[in-house]
Amino acid sequence: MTVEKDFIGDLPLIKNVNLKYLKMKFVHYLEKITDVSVYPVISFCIFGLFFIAVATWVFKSDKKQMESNSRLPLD
Amino acid sequence: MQLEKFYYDNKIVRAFAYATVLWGVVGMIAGLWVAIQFYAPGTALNYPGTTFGRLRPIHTNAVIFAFVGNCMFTGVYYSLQRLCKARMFSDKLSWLHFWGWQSIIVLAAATLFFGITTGKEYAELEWPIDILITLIWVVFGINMFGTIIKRRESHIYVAIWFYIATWVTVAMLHIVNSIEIPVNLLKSYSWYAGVQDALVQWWYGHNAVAFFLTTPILGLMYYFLPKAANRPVYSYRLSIIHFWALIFIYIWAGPHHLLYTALPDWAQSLGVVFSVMLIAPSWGGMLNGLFTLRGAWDKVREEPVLKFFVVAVTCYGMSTFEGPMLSLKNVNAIAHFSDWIIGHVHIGGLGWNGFMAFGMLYYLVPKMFNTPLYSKKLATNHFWLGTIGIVLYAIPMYWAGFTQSLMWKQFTEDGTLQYPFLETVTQIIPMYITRSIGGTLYLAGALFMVYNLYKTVKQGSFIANEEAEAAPLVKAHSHVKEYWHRVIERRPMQMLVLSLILVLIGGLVELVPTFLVKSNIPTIASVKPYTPLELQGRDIYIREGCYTCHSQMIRPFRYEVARYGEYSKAGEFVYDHPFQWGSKRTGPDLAREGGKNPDGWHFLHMFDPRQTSDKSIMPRYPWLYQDDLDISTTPAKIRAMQTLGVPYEKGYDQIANTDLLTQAKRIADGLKADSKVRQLMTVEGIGNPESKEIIALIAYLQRIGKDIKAEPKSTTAQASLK
Repeated sequence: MTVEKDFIGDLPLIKNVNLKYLKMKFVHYLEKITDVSVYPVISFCIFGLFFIAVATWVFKSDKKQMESNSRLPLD
Repeated sequence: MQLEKFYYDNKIVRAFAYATVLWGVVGMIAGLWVAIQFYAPGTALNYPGTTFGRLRPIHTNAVIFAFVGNCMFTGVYYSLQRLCKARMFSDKLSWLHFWGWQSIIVLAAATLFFGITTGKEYAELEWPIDILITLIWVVFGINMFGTIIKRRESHIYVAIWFYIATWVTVAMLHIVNSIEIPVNLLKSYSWYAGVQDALVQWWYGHNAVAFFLTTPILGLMYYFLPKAANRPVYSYRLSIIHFWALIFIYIWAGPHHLLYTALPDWAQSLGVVFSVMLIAPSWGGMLNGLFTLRGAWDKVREEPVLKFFVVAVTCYGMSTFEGPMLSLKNVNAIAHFSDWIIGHVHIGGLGWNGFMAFGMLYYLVPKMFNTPLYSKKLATNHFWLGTIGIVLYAIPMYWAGFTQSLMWKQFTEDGTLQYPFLETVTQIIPMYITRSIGGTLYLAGALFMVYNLYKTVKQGSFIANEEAEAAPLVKAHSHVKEYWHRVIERRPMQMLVLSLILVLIGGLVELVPTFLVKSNIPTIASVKPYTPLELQGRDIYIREGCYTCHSQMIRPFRYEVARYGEYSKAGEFVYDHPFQWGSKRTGPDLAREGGKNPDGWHFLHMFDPRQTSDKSIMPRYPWLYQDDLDISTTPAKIRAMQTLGVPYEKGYDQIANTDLLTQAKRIADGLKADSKVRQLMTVEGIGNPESKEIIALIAYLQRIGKDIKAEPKSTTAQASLK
């Protein structure tokens, strides 16, 4: 394909640019990911579950152990 | 069990502490200098290295990576040894880390001064320095993990978790964002283009704030605040939730830097949701810090160290409330590109980072030199100077931000814009002056600290190797089933892997779809690659740091379209390695600059902006009229672009300069026909401009945003709707 005469087209050599190739070379694009919004939803669920797991552990954990851990900088 | 005697290495801590002070002062002076240039453009000295576009990256890099970086290492090397009850893993690695990091800083300052830059904010350093950063970061990692592994304390204290997350995430961010194709030793192009580059960059940029300026300093807070207050942290439980929630959520928030831009809408919304959620862990951490002082507020009155910590943590709370608010699209529409953002980041920078560093130094230096602080009164004066400095810095910036934003969008009754852009700049000059007064006070306070610490060092005697005793760690053989988290707490590698997985989830979900889905970047047939001369001009644009004041992104608002032209489309940037959307409009947006003004206007304007725009605060660029354009790099640049997928035909690299010279001659001939240009050339003794850099820059400026104008209207609308 040849560039039509326009603001860059009057340069003698750049006319040969192939404009069909408009994508980045290193990625093979998928045309579409079905329901892309499911990705953040899944991650949100992962975060939710992880958060609940940490919170459960934290509140079930031994108080004495927590206190001794918190004193580490002072010892 | 027999206690083992060992020695903490204070020498390395001292070295990093001195480096923190030195680079802090250097970074602040650079900051003050660029602040003064806003109302006194002459202070750019008409010299390339001291012009705003180059000095501003020097300021940001010095403050972030040199000042806060060295502060982080000071605190980590001090606290890690004590929390692990072990000397650092290897003294050799410690010193390799120290000198390696200082060399990076010196190389960074030198290259940025000479305009050697990638043009990506906070990631400006060129590829050889990027590699060096990676290597030194690995050295730091080995030393840190080696120390954790040989520790004599079974539990890994929460501060160390923050250090681990910092290390792994910064490594990931730096590597992903720095992937670039070298053209030569001092020049490279970002691997990504346009929208993708913007997303990767702000994913990096935002998380540099998160994992370089926040998590390591939170680690320091969890160590030094209890130490200074002599009481344990308010809630250790809360600190655990704070840690996991913060690192998981932070990584998602990057797209809030790109609201209303050409980034796909779903990615913008995702960024907003996670940014709002970020309030919870951030405030959890802040309250945990402040509540640590419960019942000890009387100490705050006496102790300058605690004064600094209290204001630091309060500033952290302020900016982490403000950040999510700024992420709301309606607030962002007002604040983005304005000085409000500058105010916001300086609450974090001056308040949180600066005051944490000062507090830590006032605590550490007397301890290591086995002497009380030389003068508490001087430190208190420093505290007040700094606090007033922050207030005088931030309030004018908020004021300026609102003023700008309201003026930008003000229409007359006839439906035309009321204020020319320049008027929105001159209106806020008093705010810029007040801001620099605030900065001066802050710097003066820091100089008080230099003197105070110097006198403390002089009066004390340094404990190079501090003696300590602890029992060796016995491998735990518990017969009781342990909670999974308890197991992780003892295993640094598992902690590292889990942290990495958490931050990877956020990163991958955000980045991968944008890279994979073609429909995210609707291509526009009329958008063509840059001509060789424009490409060279673009590199000059990047070299001079034009992006530090000019955006190239018109948001889809009536007032922006009326002022600048049609709003920007994702497909317009497919050849932009790197993207140049910018983040601040000290000057007007340039996304549709092409064809707006004649070549002659640009020629006069770049030589002295006051000639064409009275009261403009833009610096002069006289060297572009003296220096010849280096066209020897053209073939390599074209080849690099070909590698990145820009469709120049095979072999074009060898003949590109012919096109370049043709275009340069045409522009120069046009200029010579302009009487005002001829007059300037005669008066200033400028020779034939054909071979000069200014011609390439004009070629680029005249190209920006022009392609889409060649597109039939219906197709453009369709592309934007996709």
